[in-house]
Amino acid sequence: MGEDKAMKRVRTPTRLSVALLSAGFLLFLGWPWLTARGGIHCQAMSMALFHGCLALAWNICSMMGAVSLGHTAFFGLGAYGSALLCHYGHLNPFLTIPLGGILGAFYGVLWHIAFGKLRGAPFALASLASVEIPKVIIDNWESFTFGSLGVVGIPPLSPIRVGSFMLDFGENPVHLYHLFLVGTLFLCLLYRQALRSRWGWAVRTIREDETAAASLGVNVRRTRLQVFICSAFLTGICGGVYAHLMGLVEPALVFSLHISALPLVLSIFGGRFQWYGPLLGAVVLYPLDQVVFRSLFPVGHSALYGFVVILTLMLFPQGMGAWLQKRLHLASS
Amino acid sequence: MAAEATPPCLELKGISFGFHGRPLLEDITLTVGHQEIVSFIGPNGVGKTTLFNIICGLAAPLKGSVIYRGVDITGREPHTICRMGIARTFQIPRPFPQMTVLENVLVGIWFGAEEAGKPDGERQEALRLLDLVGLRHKAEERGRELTLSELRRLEVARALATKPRLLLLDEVAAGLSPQAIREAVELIKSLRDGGLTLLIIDHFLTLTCQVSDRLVALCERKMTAVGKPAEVLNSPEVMRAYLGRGDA
Repeated sequence: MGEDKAMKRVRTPTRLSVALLSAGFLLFLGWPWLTARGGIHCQAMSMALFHGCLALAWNICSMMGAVSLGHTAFFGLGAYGSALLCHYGHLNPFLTIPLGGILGAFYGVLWHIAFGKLRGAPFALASLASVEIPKVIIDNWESFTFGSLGVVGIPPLSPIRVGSFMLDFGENPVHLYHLFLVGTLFLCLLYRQALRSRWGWAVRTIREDETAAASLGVNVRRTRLQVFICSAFLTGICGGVYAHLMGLVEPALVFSLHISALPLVLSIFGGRFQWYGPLLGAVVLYPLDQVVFRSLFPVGHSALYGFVVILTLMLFPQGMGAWLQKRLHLASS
Repeated sequence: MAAEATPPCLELKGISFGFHGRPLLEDITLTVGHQEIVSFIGPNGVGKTTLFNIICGLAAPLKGSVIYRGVDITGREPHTICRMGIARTFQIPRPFPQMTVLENVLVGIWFGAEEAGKPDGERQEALRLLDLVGLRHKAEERGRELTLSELRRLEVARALATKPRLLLLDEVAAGLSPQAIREAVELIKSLRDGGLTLLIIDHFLTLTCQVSDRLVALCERKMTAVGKPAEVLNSPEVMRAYLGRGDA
């Protein structure tokens, strides 16, 4: 009998969760047609997905127990890397963005070398401090990076021709939305599979008890390095995409505390311990802020994030994801 | 075996250790044969757990070396040492609190010494180990929900999951009932018969006297006595340490 109970642990998706997932997917696919095509709701949801990816990238570190306040360093390096490569090399943005990601990943390796031994609050503070180094360099290397004036005239994402159909991400918000949707789904699935793999288990053991993990054969140092590289690379890619969306980058824009804090807020709200938590947080919270609160309180709407973090930590310390999962389990059993 | 002289399971050669310039262990030298059970006794804070940490790579000795099956493993990383076949339990249990008991054991199977087979076999193996320590009925509970004595048993199951050839047990018997201690004695004997070598720390001597081939008494940084349990317990140094006559 004990065996039956233990064997049931292999999770089969319940009908309810499959239905919810499909409904959610269809909703997102048809979102541009449900709202005014290309209108503010479509753009808000595009940016929500974008921030979902940013939060997913951040959450890889968090899954390992490393709560970072410095991911904007990777973001800014990715943005500047891609922008400058486009500016000087006249390369296709779809090529320069991954290169920007690699620049971010390189900084992730430096993190590991410089303060890979730190944990908890000292780690968070060191990560926060590490943002200043690339920011100050870029701010002052005017001959190469244009200093605090920033890089302007960055080309938008280049159009892609599929048969006779032209996907123009720079001009058509609906196409951009679907690009982000595909990217997000891909990242989400990748993330989910990674967490379910042995590597994902290693990451979680490090969060739960590093010494025990090492004593059971988990290579803590290598896993930490891999996590930093993945997280920094993906954050750098987000930074690169951002540069081409905005058309300009400035040090103050891409190396900002806001960009470090937002993924943290979205992940904590959505649930740091579920693979879909960061995305859930992003698609709920970001549109709520941009569409509802911004029109109500044009000046102070960002305060929402502060309230949300405090309320979530007090009421659902594991985030909405964990809370929802419990409800779903109760509803389906 | 074919080899004329198989190296002993574990050799400690002149191990010294200290914190902040204060010596804790000095010149610990010991050879442990295969399938031997050696227990360490001594007062609190004498450095028994530290010695285990040194063997497992969680602490580096100031001097001396740890030789495991003829290979010098001093200063190697803990996960490497684990994969070479040395597992340990922690005196203060260190479960993965959010994972289930079964998952705790699976981690040991996945990352431990040998590459395991198909996923189904891993689960069966984990359940078998939980059976062995009497925790099968708790397989689905989370690590944080167990009582202290259950956590100690989980430590043993998890350590065994890494397929060790040398197992270090740190105070597994503390606080157990007489019945549970009898079961632990049987378990340890059967593990040894299965080919394991065991080092045991047992502060209260409840378990050690019944199973140990040899006893090592640590006192004031040094090994004061080594030998058969009865000899060591009756040696004047140990009597003094345990009964506290040395303080007067």
